[in-house]
Amino acid sequence: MSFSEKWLLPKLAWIGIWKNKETYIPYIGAGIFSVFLYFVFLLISHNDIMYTLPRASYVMVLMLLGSWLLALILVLFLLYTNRFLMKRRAKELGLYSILGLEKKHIAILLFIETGIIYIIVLLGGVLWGVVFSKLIFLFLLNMTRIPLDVSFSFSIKALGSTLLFFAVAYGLNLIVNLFRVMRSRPGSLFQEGKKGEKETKHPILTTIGGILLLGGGYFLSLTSQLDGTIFSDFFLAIFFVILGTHFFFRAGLGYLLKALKKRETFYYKKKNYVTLAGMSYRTKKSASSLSNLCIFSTMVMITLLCTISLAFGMKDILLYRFPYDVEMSFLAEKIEDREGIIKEGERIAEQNKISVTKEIDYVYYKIKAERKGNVFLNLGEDINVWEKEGVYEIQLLTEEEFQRGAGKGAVLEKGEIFTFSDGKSIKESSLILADKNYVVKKEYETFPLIEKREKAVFSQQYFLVVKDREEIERLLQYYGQGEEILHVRMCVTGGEEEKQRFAEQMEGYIAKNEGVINRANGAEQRLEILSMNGGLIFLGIFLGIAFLIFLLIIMYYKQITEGYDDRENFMIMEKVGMTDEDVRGTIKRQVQLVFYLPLFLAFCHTAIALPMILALFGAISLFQEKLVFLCGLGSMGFFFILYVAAYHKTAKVYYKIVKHS
Amino acid sequence: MALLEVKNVKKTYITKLGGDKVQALKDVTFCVEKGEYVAIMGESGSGKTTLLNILATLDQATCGEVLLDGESLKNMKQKRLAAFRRDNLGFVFQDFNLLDIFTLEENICLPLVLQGKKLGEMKEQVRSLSYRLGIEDILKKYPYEVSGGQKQRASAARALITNPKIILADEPTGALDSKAAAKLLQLFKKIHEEGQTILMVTHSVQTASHAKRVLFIKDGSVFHQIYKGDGDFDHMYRMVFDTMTLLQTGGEEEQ
Repeated sequence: MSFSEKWLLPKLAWIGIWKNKETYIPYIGAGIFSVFLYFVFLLISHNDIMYTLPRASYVMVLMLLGSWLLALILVLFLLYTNRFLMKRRAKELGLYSILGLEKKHIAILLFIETGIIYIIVLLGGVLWGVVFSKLIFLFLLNMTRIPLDVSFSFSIKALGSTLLFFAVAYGLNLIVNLFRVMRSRPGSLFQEGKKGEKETKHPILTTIGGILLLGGGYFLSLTSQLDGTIFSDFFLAIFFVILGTHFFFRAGLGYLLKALKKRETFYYKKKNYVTLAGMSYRTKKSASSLSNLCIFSTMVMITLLCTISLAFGMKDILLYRFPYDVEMSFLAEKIEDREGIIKEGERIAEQNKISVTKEIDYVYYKIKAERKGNVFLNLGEDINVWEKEGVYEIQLLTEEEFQRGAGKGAVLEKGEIFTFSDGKSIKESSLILADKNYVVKKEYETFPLIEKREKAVFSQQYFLVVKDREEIERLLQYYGQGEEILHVRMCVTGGEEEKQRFAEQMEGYIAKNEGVINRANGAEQRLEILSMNGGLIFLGIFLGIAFLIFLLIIMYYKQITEGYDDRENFMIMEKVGMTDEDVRGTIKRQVQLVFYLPLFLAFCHTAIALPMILALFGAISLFQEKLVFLCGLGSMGFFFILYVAAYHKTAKVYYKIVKHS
Repeated sequence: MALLEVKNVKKTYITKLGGDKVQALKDVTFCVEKGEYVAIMGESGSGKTTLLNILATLDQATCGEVLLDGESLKNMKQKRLAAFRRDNLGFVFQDFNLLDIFTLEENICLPLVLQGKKLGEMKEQVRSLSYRLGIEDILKKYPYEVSGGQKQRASAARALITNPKIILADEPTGALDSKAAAKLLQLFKKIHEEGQTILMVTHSVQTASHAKRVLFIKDGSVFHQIYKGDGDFDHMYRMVFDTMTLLQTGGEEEQ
């Protein structure tokens, strides 16, 4: 092989890219953006500092999950853009094969081409990543309230993973392309540009499949409840809806277009004629564009909705999760001076020039029992089983302890109880406890000692107030557990910093006590939640922007590639007598269909997803339905404006391409 | 009054690089009467395509005037031109210019759809025309499914469907084999005999000899013309061939 022969294929590969600049520039741009996103993501999560930062572990887990999600989406995105590219390259490759390049050579050509693109894309993406990752990292730290005075280091491992991931992603693209080339005859490759796409093989099956999948996803969302299966259901629903959307558009669009074309009085109208024919000429491509637009639109809206809701609802989540600044539990028998603890709290507050606003202390006995209807059974051997349905933690109180703060007299008789559940209400008029019937004198909806958390499903507790110690002893004997525990909670005035200082000093004091079982620093835990949710918000913003840019790239990409496809058609039509006005009208119609159809379905998806999102928010204790609903409306409105703006912009680009001869 | 009057048309291009002026048409004057079948002949670069583009309103003359049915194309607004083309002119192109997204039938219908015709009327027109042109069997096919000759006949049908005042054909046989070309020229002859005015541009002696009159263009002006009169095809062919030979040798002498 002579020198020039050896370099022929690389040269052809390079020429192939260069001559098709118009197609390759957005392709490479999309690639660079993908590398940038992935690399920055890895840089942040691989950063050494992340391992040493306090409270960063939550963020780390989120980032890990985020990177998997991102990887999946990136692969799909790159495959999608590759498909457009190959369709446009087909003619050229066909020509090469007619001119005498064997399939082997074309494979080598494609390999070299992919290699060149891989290198360009990685160089670009990594460079941008290095420049901007620090800024993004600082933004993350700020969002999560993690102290800012840290340095940011470049990670070789992140670079390695990025190189590997994109080698796999582009390798996958190459395999898809090679498969296509190997399968085809040269003539057909050459014809590819001309021939319309084959119709979907089983339109009825595909349509039914699409409807079933969509219905399944919708059903999962509409019936979702906050329980153990919510996360798996959530991912299942996403999977169903994505697949369903693809099926639905693929078969549904074919159907729709066919039906519209059959209605000849509609089809043979100036504004519909070219649009309908053009779309059915490339149904598959149109369908894949429409479903991608729909899915990404939904993703953007849902991400937006969640991020805004979380940001606005944060304060409520914190208060809900940790309403007190200090919580302490002691073995009651070890504490002689109960009042002393409270007095000390007031003293420490005074020292810090703040005051105690709320103080609750009571003694209770903790038991676990299995509820069956209104009967509470001994767990027996199963005492450590938590997951079992119907097993509740119960706090037993005497009436004296219960009424301490209220200062009311005793009203309970023997055999009577007060009940309270911090979750779902018990709603029984009598309970069988330790084989004895107790009349429920009153079920409290608001309990003086603890807040009701109606929607909480996890860690639900029951509170039973009985007449006296004697009753408690009897119950303890039956249920066989329970120590006498003193529980103290305090709230103080001041900002989070002062609260934290107070909590720390209080902890220092109680650490001296022997009987401490448990203590919680509310301020500290709020910070932890803040850091986790801050991580979520960061993730939301990061992914939201990523999805949005993917969406815009897909939109733009679709319009320009189709613009080049259609240019010749419009030139012919103008020669035959299509006025400029007609051209504009046709484009408007086409773009309208392409853009509003998926937007409409995306609105549907988003609206239907609301119940599931609410349930998920329940898992992080955000229960404000109204807020989420309003944020949903806001996100849809905002997205609509953005979408319409993008539509106008792309329609203009398309028009320019089509008219520029 | 002649159907088409071309008066002292000049066309000057300015090249993109260097800004040199290139005179594509020097001074072209001729008329086409209603019902005539005219061919314009010339070598590549003689200006015949430029002339056709000006007649087709796809390009504007630098000087001079073109009148179709007494209406000047010169001052017509860009916006009206497309509609004017659609309603008055029919095109047959060398490379067919059929749209891949449409079946042949839909391609033929396109000008009518753009005119906003009623569906029934359209269908009727397409049916009778395709029957006349012998393409009724392939109407439902897509352009990539049929042969070049069939494509060109469909393209002719698209040109004829609006009953244009004049058919402008640019190298209509250029992409066809001799058999398909002969068939197409037969078709042109038939529609001419039915009263259709045809103006075609070609450099093929064979094709041009089918016309009733042949205009020769050389270096941007009309050089000569031949009438078929009552003579037969062979006679015409010889005359056209001789004129072309003269044109070419004359060209060499000039150099």
